[in-house]
Amino acid sequence: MLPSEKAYARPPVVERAIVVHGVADEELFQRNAEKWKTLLVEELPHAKDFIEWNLEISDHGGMPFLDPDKQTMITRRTFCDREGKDRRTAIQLWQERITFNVFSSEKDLRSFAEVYELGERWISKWAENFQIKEISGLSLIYVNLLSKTTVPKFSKNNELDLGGVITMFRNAPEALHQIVAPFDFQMSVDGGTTPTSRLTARCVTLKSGKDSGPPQLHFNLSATTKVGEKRKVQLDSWRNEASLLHELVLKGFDAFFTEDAKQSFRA
Amino acid sequence: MSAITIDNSPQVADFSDSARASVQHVVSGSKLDPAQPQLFKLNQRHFSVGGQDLVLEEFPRIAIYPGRFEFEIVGWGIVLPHADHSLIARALIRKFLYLHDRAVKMALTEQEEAEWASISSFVDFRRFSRERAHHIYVEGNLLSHDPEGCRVVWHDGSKIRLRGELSAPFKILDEGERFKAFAKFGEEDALLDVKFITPLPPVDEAKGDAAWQRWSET
Repeated sequence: MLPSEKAYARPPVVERAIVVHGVADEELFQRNAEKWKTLLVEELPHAKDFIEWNLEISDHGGMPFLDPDKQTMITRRTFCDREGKDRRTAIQLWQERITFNVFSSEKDLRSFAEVYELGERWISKWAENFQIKEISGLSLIYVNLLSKTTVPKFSKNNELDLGGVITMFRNAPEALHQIVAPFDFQMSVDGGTTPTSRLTARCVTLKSGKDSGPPQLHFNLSATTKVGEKRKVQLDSWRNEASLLHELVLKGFDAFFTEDAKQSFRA
Repeated sequence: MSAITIDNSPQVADFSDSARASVQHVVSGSKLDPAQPQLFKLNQRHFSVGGQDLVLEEFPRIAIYPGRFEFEIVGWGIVLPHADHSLIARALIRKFLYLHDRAVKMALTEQEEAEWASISSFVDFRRFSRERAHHIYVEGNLLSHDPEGCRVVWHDGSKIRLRGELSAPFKILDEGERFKAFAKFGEEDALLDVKFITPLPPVDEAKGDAAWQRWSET
């Protein structure tokens, strides 16, 4: 059974994503990618590939060095129901994982049940198409947007009272509550569950305020059971792990948002 | 030796703009030379388009030139606009097939000759040749059916156990029945495909012995 989400009328969540980590054989992956596309096309007709660039800087005798062997490019295949910012639902595919994303907006609130249901419909088909028998874990990500629109009570004169929204900054001196960009941080805590899990909170500045308009931040809460390289579990365990991670993310939401902020989400 | 990894890609699922917003700054001690490319390794060796496959021995190198909106697939003589990264597989397969055809016909130009020398060293040629091989005529006997597949003995006496899709075409045969077909074999004579299976009448042992006798006496 799915854990229930608290009935917030206006939560700042703009994206929910379930990630299933499971490696496909490269040949099978490339050969069956087209077939996968045809399976998805009716529900998610907008397909687009993106390149991810990974840079690795090595230190050779005290000098930074870009080793050509370690700079890599990887293709990410995305499938969306609608184009661009109008998208409501998406699936992203790599050789070693798949993600199920649902997007929310002020006028179109979505829920965990929807992303879970998306996974329920497609995970077994993904596993069958790419012959994936075991997975190494699951991740669940909640992207919260902190902006003039989502936390209006804490926004004033192109400034955001971050200390009023996020608990860990509540005790900062009053003057320091106003955000000065960049204001990025990341922290992880042990989830204390079986299987082992981890909850990560990450804050990223999107717009710094001042001349660039009202400030915007993403406050991401992500939980994962992919802890340890050699973990292998049965595909079916994704359901239990998704519920477990959902509880963790909700706990994180409860802990990291101030009572004032949560009260404003209920309004 | 220590190493710092700057990974701007979404680690897991972040479809949002946060990945772009988290770009870290790399400070270079010298100016970028527009003539010197930045080399990347494409993490893909197997390319498949329209049912045609190409497997490389190594990951291909991609060269990005600062200030140019295109990239080069190193050693292949392929330059594509930056936005056309999704066409890499198609471009590689097309180039290889074109040069392979020209090489078979001994019609390579001097420049193509040089490109072919380079490209053919990147490709798993054994694999390519095997997959391009035609089906061959075979005969054999179906030994038995079972829920998981079937057992077959080929005309040379070698036996094989087939499961799943490969065993499906043999359902048309009765146990112990002779057949002829067209088959494609891979590494270590593994059956890759079989088609046009047709039942054959049993061999008349007496006629066979008589024919052999006549032939051996001549």
